Amino acid sequence: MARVRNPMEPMSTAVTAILTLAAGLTGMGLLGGLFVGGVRFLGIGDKSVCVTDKTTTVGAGEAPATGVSPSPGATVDLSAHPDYCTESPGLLQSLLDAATQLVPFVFIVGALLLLFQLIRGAERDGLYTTQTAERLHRLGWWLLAGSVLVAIAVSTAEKALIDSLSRDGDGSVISGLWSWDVPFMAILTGLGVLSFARIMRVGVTMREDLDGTV
Amino acid sequence: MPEEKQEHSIEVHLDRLLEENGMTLAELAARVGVTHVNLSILKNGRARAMRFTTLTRLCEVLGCQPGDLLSHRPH
Repeated sequence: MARVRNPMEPMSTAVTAILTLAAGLTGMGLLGGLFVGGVRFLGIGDKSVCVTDKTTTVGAGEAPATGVSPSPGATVDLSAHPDYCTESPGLLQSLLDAATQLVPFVFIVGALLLLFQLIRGAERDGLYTTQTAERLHRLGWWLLAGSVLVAIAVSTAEKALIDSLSRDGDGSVISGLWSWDVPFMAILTGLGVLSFARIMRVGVTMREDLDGTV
Repeated sequence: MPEEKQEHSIEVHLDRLLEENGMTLAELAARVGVTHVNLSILKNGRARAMRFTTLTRLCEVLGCQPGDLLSHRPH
């Protein structure tokens, strides 16, 4: 009889390794940021704050730049997004900067923890069970809704930070709600996981039928 | 998809056939190639479905027809 591979591998090992590494780095980063000078972690401990305004493009005009020579027939565009920086951020600026890094970090760690819970639960309770389908459903919604909320939150925080560092800021943080990058891959993955949760529920019914088959 | 448990009206006469053949449930399970637990589930009317391969082996070992093993008793 052919050897049946563990359906939870290699995901189980990978998620466990990533979470262990993340926990270790987070612990070291937090301790370093709090007690050791010069250590920066997810925006905590940053002495300077920088943010890129992705909604604005600044061109260099037609002035030729040294070291940039397009070949005949080719053109070069020297447009760039402006970076705003300050060496002495205020408390609000530091918090906004930390938010732009912490929020995505929390989302990713949350997704990994839900995945870890799903895998351990499936190994304990069985693959085709109501609990496994429920945990998959939860993960799907976390990915779908979480990715959108994170993108909006980060965009809003960045807009507020840019406004505080720029004289041209319109003072309206609301515009950050309309200029976020749509996380297409996370949305598609979330929808896929939700669909798979439904497929798993069908599988639960089939397994229950099979349990009573002689 | 409806998830309600469906009751059935099929009776399994394994006890009678075992007695007629002078066999225990464990012996029958070993000869048919089905686990003792599954045969016990079948004997107690808790099985939801039966494979034709299992039915074939039961009839071969017990020397009976499907109609001797199973009957329909409407409620």
